[in-house]
Amino acid sequence: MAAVDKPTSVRGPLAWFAARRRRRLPPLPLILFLALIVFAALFADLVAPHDPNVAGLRFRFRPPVWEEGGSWQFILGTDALGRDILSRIIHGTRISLLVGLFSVGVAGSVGILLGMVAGYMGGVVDAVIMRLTDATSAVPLLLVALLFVVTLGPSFGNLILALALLLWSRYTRVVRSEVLSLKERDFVALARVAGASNAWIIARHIFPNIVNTAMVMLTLQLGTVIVVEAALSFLGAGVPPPTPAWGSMVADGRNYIATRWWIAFFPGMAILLTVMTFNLFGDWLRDRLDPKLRQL
Amino acid sequence: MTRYVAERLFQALLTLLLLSAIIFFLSRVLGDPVMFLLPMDARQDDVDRLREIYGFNRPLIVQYLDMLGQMLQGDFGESLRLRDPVIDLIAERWLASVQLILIGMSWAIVAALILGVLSAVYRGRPIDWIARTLAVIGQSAPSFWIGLILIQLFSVRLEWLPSAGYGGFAHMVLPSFALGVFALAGMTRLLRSSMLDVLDSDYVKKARIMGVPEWRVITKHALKNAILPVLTFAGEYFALLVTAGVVVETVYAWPGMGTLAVDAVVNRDFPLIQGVTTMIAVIVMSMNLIVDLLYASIDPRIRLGRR
Repeated sequence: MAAVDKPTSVRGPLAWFAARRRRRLPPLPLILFLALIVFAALFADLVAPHDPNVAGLRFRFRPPVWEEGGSWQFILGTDALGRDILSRIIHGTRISLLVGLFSVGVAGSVGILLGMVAGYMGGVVDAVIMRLTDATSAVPLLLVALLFVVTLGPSFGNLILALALLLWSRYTRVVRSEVLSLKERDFVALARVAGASNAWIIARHIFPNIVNTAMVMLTLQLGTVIVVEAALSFLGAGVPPPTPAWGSMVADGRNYIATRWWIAFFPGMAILLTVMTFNLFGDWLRDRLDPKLRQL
Repeated sequence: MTRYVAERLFQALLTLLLLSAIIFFLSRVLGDPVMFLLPMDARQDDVDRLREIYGFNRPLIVQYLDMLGQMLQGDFGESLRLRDPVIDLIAERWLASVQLILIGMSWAIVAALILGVLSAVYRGRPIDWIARTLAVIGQSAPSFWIGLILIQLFSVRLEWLPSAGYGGFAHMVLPSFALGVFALAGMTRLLRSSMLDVLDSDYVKKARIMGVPEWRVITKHALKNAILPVLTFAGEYFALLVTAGVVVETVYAWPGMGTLAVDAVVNRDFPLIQGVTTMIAVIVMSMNLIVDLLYASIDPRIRLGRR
């Protein structure tokens, strides 16, 4: 094995590609954007030029700096309460990322576990779990999440619970179909002959083989979750008000879209760029981790 | 084939049963509907009387079974707030929603076919670059935001199209565009990658060697096969469009089921919530069934293989 893994030196015009392949890094702009998003979320207090929640009615409806009447004090302008939009976007990164990571984490763990159990055990267990995934996939996602958050009261925990409840089934279906083919393989049969328990086989023999698929799915879904969270806050069922969230910022700007377009425009742009970054990263990861490519 | 359809219909019924249970218990366990109907300082005996009138004082499981029985007879109850039968409210609104979704989906499919094929055929050229950029942006932009930007551009600045409401064709353009962008992006990407696979296959090469004109190779030999993977996801995109439709309808004050549902949730109008979610699920599932049947009729492997 070691001999195969050893990088072979390539000369000539192909050297650059070979070097890139060995480094296994995503394209530079993608790394920069990822770093920027994580940095903004971690150090929002230090980076943001203003307090995101302090209203100053004297400063309301200031346009962005390049428009007539704009100033460097509020680079992306201010909203109807005179709050700095740039600062609110920077702080909003935190909510989007936290909600995204937690709900993808919960949905992912539950979904992957159920998928492995369904695929490996088969029979009644499989049938019950699969009917459950069918039911959740026909459910109008957003409405149920909305119902959940409205009736339970808007809070960080409820939001994550609602999103996780709706998103687990996708993992289950993909993981299950992978496991179905995995369990026919020799190493699973051998483990069984050796007397390994079902739990052991799932944990030590099945799970390591689906990790790559799971990683790609988790990354790609991070973008989806951020959009769904934004849609929920747009409808007024996100994290409760004083905390800046991108979706509710777009909603704030909705009534002023005719004259003060910047209030809704920039938070939406932040959603777009963040989701795009995670989607592109997920694509890159898939190309990288795809088993067919890995054999090369 | 009949057996396959029967099986699918049975599955759909099971799904509806599960969905109705989820919504029912979620809404009843989480909040007392009577509390939202009466003023905060209502007397206790008034509360009790109202509970009795609506039957909310019975055990939950009895209420659930009772509701199921009525739903089976086509009776979805009465809206708590609007006092109208739920079925009438849905009947008023469903067509507007379906119109919006079908138009959004149709233009997205047509545009995705054109963009996907062009970008695969002219791989690496400017048209490919444009299509891929559009696809990446379309997959990431939230539809409610696209909706607002379109209003700002086409209603406020250019004054070409109405910004909200229901009416003729002009009212339909912006909402259906905002709605379709996501599906367009996803299907373009899918079609591009499956076209690239097919264009690289032996039978396409053979057709070229045999002197079949290039446009026929693309439309007949390649596209017909490349479209199958896209069709698998068409049902899923339809479901996503239904979900996105809820938000887009809110942006454009579109009198469809989305706005009805959001109002119902905000007002905790439980019979209405139950009715609308059931209706939406029925629409999504029938669409999925149609797509699967279409798929089976195109691809004989599935028709014969799956029993």
